[in-house]
Amino acid sequence: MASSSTNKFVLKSNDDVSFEVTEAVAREFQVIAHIIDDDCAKKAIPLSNVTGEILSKMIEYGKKHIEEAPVDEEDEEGKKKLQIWDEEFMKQFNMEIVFQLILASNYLNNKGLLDLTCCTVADHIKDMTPDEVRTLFNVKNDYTTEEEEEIRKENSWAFE
Amino acid sequence: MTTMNNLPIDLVEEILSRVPVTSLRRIRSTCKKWNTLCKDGTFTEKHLTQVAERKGEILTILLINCKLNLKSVNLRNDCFDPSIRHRGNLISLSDSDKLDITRVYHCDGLVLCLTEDYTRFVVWNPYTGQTRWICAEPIPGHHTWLWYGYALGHDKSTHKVLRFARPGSGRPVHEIYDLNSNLWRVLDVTQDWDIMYGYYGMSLKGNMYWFAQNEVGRGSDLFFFFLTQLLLIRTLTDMPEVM
Repeated sequence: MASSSTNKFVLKSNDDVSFEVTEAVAREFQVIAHIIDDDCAKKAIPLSNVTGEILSKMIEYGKKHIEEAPVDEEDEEGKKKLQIWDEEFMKQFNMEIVFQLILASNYLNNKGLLDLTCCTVADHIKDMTPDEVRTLFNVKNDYTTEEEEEIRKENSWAFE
Repeated sequence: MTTMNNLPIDLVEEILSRVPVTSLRRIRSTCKKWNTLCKDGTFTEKHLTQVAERKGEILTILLINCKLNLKSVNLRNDCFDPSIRHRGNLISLSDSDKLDITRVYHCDGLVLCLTEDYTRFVVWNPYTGQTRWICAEPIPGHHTWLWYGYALGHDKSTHKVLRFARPGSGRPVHEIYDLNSNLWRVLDVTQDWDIMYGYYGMSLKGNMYWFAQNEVGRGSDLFFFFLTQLLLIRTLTDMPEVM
């Protein structure tokens, strides 16, 4: 039986882009791991909710986390190296792509990438005013003036 | 275009639960949906788990020079020794609020803050930002000889504040305030014990504990506040099961 490093699978995006990956990389995504375990992965595995552009980035992330996985829980240096790579990896994306990565990593169930992408957005908005957040993410201010005052009162005490 | 606005609510929750607690007031003010989400108990739990798991940090509230500070304690810092970091100060949007806090009690995520003003104190939820001011009648007696004790506790249905006072002259007073009904109730307690001045007790699982001294002898008892009662525990076997 072929090992997970030589066994290959083809992942196919919703815009018909195919990627050949090792079994280990494919298993980085829980949903695909289940398809493999159920022995349903005869040919190409179609992924209806992911574009080729997003899938290629997810595979890049998955590959890196297989190749550079820390040796064990105590491998602080390995963890730190991967963390620095993660930060650099996220810098190349605009928010639109980050949101697509959040949706895709949720859909394919990769907890590490979901955490990383959500943290990127959270870090981005943590120092913004409500108005800045609304403009950036196209969120409508649905408070009336009275409700805004009410919210102000309700939140009068906070650590900042 | 994919944006925060059209993500499913559980993914919005994933993102907002990673925003530091010091940014949550602004998040709640952004829109109604986010406000409702952030005030939910499951969100708070998720938020606390994120902080603890991701950074190995425990958030603590410290009272220093009459100011409330938010500090994070990291006991498993990867590169350095365990550390304490300053994360924020208590800021009130209401100019009339005096933020000189003299004492703090906590229970189940809520904080009871006392100020110099004995007739007014506040119960605050640091996570949702909500405050509830409670008024209390001043207890007659000369203040130099007046000793107040406070506690914040809870049972299944409501939180309660206990206040007791030992005037220099006159009868001791014991009162309980119910945060659901907004009512004070005077307790009928025969006080044959005393708590040493300056001993503020300790909160554990919804109850408050003090060391009390028998008025007659010098023996110590563990004095126990249990929601609606004041109990004296003389031996460890008297401890209620909640311990």
